[in-house]
Amino acid sequence: MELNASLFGREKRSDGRFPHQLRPPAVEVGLLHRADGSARFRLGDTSVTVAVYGPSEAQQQRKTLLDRAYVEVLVRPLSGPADAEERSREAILQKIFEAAIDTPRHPRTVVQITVQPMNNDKPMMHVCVVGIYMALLDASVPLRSLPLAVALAYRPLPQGSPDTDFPFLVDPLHTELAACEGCIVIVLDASHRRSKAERDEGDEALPSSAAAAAAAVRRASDAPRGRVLATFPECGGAMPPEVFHTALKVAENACKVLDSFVRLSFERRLTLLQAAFRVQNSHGGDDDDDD
Amino acid sequence: MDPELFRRVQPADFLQRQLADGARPDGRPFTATRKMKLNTNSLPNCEGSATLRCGSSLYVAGVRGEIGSPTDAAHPSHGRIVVTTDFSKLCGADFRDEAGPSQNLSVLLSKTLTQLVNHHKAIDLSQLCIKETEAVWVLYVDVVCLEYDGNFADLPLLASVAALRNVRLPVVTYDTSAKAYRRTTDEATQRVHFKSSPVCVTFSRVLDEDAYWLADPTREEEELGTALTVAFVGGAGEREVTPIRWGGAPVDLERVSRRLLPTASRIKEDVYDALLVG
Repeated sequence: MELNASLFGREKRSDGRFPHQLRPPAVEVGLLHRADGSARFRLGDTSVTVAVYGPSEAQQQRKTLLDRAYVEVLVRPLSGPADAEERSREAILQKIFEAAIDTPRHPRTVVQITVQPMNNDKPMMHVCVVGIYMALLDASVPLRSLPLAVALAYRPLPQGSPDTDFPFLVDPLHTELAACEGCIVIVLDASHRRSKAERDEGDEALPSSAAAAAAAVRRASDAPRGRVLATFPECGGAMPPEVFHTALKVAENACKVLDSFVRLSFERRLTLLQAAFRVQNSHGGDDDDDD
Repeated sequence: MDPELFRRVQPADFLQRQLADGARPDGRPFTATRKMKLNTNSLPNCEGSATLRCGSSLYVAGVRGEIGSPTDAAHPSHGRIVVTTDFSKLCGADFRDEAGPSQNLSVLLSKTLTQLVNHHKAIDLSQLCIKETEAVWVLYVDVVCLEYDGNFADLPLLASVAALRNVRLPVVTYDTSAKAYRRTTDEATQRVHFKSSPVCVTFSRVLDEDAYWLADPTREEEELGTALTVAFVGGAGEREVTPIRWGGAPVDLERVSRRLLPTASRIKEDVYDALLVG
């Protein structure tokens, strides 16, 4: 119904971005040596350090669940003691990651996730979610779904302005929020896109009749796995339902950017690790290891 | 096997068989809420109060008004409402901070309900002004759960809104010698007006493979699934919603919300709004 044009904004913002653009992401993975996995993820200037310990043996009786792992999230504020704000963040992150981590694989263990925001920017839940995701990848914790998150601020514009069809600001700055009705965070599952593509690829290998049959079955009962893991208001974001459905599409576009970023970051690391592994192995055999 | 025993030992299988037959364990259709009963003004020491019974759940909400200074620099005449929910041990819910997968839920719920109740589309907070930039009413709503049977979001919010709608704020004068505002014993008549009652409708998504969406979930239905709450803040004309989902298996939220929103609107209007008015 709506053209793709309404998934992009036209009028530039105060920092030079278009309304549909994220700030540039950056990450440092594996920076904490004691932790099983760690990541410092940045979106522009908003930065979060995450440490993951686990799955490790549950030391306390109350943290022992017989059929799955116990996922614990701790959010440490920049300064001062943790209060209600941190606790409600912990609650949301805990619910998201308890569903995302493959907990039945490691019963009677604890996965402890510690999140430390490096500055006081708001909104920052989306940065926390991606930071935790990358730290979990670093720790090689098995995941059921791959959560990527983006924050969207909603600001309805009057008719005649260039962005009437695109009443959003993706990845808003704190200063931009004052002019907006509210802000929501949408958490999507990155794995959906890959599995659908893999399904399509897999069909080519079958003989043509089987491929046609498989395609027909898929079309008939096409229940897409779906993509949304979580959505919640960061500071009061109510909008008409049609606008919310557009917001989901906008969030999907933004998450594609994050998805590519995560893959690139880890692919580079993986090739370095593989090269180091090969070098180490060839060391044992002969003395020449010019590669 | 004895059905009650089966229900306790294999709750997921028990629920799955019931739902496959088209009914829930308590006989309701998937989109029906339980019968609710609301009593107001039961607590004489509060400015407003409400008691809500729904199935076996029981919530008591009380509003206490204090005089404070405005905290929002952009709105010096706005008062505020602070909602606190308390799921203590006696209600039977496992939401305490230190135990189990639902840590900190009451803190999160308090924060979310406070946001909803203060939303500018639901209420004009300047009605709580006593003297601009100096004194405003701060209404503290305490919702206590005495018995918990599922649906942790809708019912406390309903109880808080009902209590707020029954608030009668006392007349206040400025005592120059004490340099403070004092309540007088004049008849309290100031009410709190809502432009539209903020309510939310919760569904529980149970059984990942079959994915049934059940409205107003009971405790066992809630434990076996993940919740989706649709919060309404706009009035009848502007239907503005905030879907809230705090984690779970991936869902096609656009398709699901298209299917569920009409049901949610119907529940909001026919059940919740009618309850608050009548």
